[in-house]
Amino acid sequence: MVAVAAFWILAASAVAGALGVVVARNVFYAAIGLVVSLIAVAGLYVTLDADFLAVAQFMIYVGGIAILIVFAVMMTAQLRRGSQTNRLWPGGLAIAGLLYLSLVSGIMQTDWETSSGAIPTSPMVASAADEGVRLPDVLFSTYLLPFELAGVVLLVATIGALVIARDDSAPSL
Amino acid sequence: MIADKARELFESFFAKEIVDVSMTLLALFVLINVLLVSATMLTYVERRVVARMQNRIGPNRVGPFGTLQGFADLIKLITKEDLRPSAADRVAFTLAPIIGFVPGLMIFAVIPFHQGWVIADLDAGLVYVMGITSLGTFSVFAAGWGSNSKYSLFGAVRGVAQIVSYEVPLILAATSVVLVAGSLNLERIVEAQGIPFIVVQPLAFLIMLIAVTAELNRTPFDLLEAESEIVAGFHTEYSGSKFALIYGSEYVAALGWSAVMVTLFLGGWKPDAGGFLWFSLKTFGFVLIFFWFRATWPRVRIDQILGFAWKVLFPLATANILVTAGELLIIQSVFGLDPGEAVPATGLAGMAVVNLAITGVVLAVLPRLIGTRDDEGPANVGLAAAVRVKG
Repeated sequence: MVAVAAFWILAASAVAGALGVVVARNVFYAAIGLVVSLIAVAGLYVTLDADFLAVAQFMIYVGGIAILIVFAVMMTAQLRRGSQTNRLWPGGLAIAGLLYLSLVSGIMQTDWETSSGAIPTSPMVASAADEGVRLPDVLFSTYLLPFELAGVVLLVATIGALVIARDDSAPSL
Repeated sequence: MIADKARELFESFFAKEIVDVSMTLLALFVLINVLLVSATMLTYVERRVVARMQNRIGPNRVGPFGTLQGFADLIKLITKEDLRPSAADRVAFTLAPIIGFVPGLMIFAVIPFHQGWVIADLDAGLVYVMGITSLGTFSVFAAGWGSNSKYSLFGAVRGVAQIVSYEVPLILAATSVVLVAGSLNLERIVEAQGIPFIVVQPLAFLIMLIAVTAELNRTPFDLLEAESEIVAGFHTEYSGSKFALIYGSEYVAALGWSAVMVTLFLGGWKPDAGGFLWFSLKTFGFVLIFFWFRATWPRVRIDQILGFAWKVLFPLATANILVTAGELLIIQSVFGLDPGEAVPATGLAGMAVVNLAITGVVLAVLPRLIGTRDDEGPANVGLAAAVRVKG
C-alpha cells in the first residue's frame, strides 16, 4: 500500500519535473525541473529495493550532471527571455517522435519478468546487501569493455574541455 | 535500553508498522531539534572561541557568560521584515535557503550514533552522504543567481567552482577508507576500526579535512562570501529569517560533516564508553577544529584554491588509493582474507606504520614542490599569501 502510494507520488513528480524541463521558458526553472525529475527517479529505484543504484543516481545525476547544467545556465546571458524553440523545431520534433516511438515499441516488446517472489538477481537490481560484493565483480569482468570505454570517453571530454577553455594569452594558474 | 522498553510497551497496544513509523518520526523530531539548538549554540561558541584565540572577550552580555547570545540573534533575525529585492527571482530567492538547510540535516539520517542507533541503515551510506551534500551547490547557485546582484553572482560562481572541485578529492579520500573498511555502510566502517582510521589513513584524513573545509565554505576557503571584496558574496541580498536559515545551515552542515569525519576516521562511538554521548563529544570537538582554522588562517585566492584541489589534492588522493589497494592486496594474501573482509588489528597496525611514514614524507616534501615562487604554484597559501597582501 505504502509502496504503491510512493510509486504514484514519485512517478507524478518525475513526469511533472520532466514537463517542467521542456515547458519552462526560464532556463533556471528548467534546471530545477530536471533536478526534481532526477530525484524522483532515484526514489523509484528505492521502491525497487535498488538502494545503491538510487544513491548512485543521486550522486551522479543530481550532484554531478545537474550541477554542471546549472553552471552552464549561470553563464547564459539570455536567461529569462530564452526561447525553447528556434527554426530547427520541425527536425527536432521528428527526432523526438522517432525516439518516443522506439522507446514505446521497446517497452511494449520486452518480456518483463514479474514475480511476487524474491528480487531478481540481475546485478543492477540485486538487493543492496549483495550489490557491494557483486557490482565490482561484474563491472570488471563481464562489462569491462564498456567500463573502459566510458573511461576513455571521459578522458577525451576532459581534454576537449581543456583545449576549448585554454586561453594562451592569460597567465597560467 | 530505554528505547527497547518503550518499544515493547507500545507494541502491546499498536500494530508493529505503526510503532516502527512513529519511533522513526520520534527519533527524527528529537534529532532535528537537538541539531537546531546545537547550531544556534555553535554560533555563540564560535564567537567565543575565536575571540579567545584572538585575545578578545567575545559576546558575554546575554545570559550567563553570554550563552543566550545565539538565541537572541535568532529571535532578532526572525522578527525582522522579510525583504526581497524587487529585481530578484522570487522562486530561486525563496528556495535557496531552504535547499541549503536540508542536506546538513539529512546527513544525520545515516550517521550511527551508537551500535544500531541509526535512523536509516543504508548499505550505501557514504555514497548517500556524498550525494545529498552536493545539493548545497544548488542552494549557493540559486541564492547567487536569484538575488540578481553582481556580488551575489560572483560569490555563487566562486562557490560552485570551489565545491565542485573539492568534491573530487573528498570522494577519492573517502574511497581509500572504504577500501580498508570493505563497506560503504557507516556502521560497518566504524566496526572495522580496530585502530581509528586517522592513524591507518592519515593522508586520507588530511585530504578529507581540507576538502570538507572547502565544502563547508569555511576559512581559509570562504571566499564566496569574502566581505573585503564582494560584500557578503552569495547571501549579500539576504536578511531576516532567510539569512538566519543560510547562517544556521552553515553550522548544521559543519556538525554533519564533523559527524561523518568522526565516523570515518575517529572510530565513531568507539571505544564503547558513554554510548552516544562519546560520539557527540567527538563531533563537537571536531567542529572546534573548523573554528580554530578560522581564527588562524587568512583567506586564499580563488585560483590558488582551485589549483590546490586539482594539482595537489587530486593526485595525492589518487596515489593514496593506489597505495592502499596495494597494501590491502598484501594483507589479504598474508592473512588469507577474502576481498571485502575486515582487516584484523595487526594488519591495520602494519598499514598504519607504512602510511604514517608515507604521510610524513609527503608533508616534508610537498611544501618544497609547491608555492616556491611568489606568483606561481597553486598552494601559495597561509602566511605567504598574508605577507604578500601587506607588502
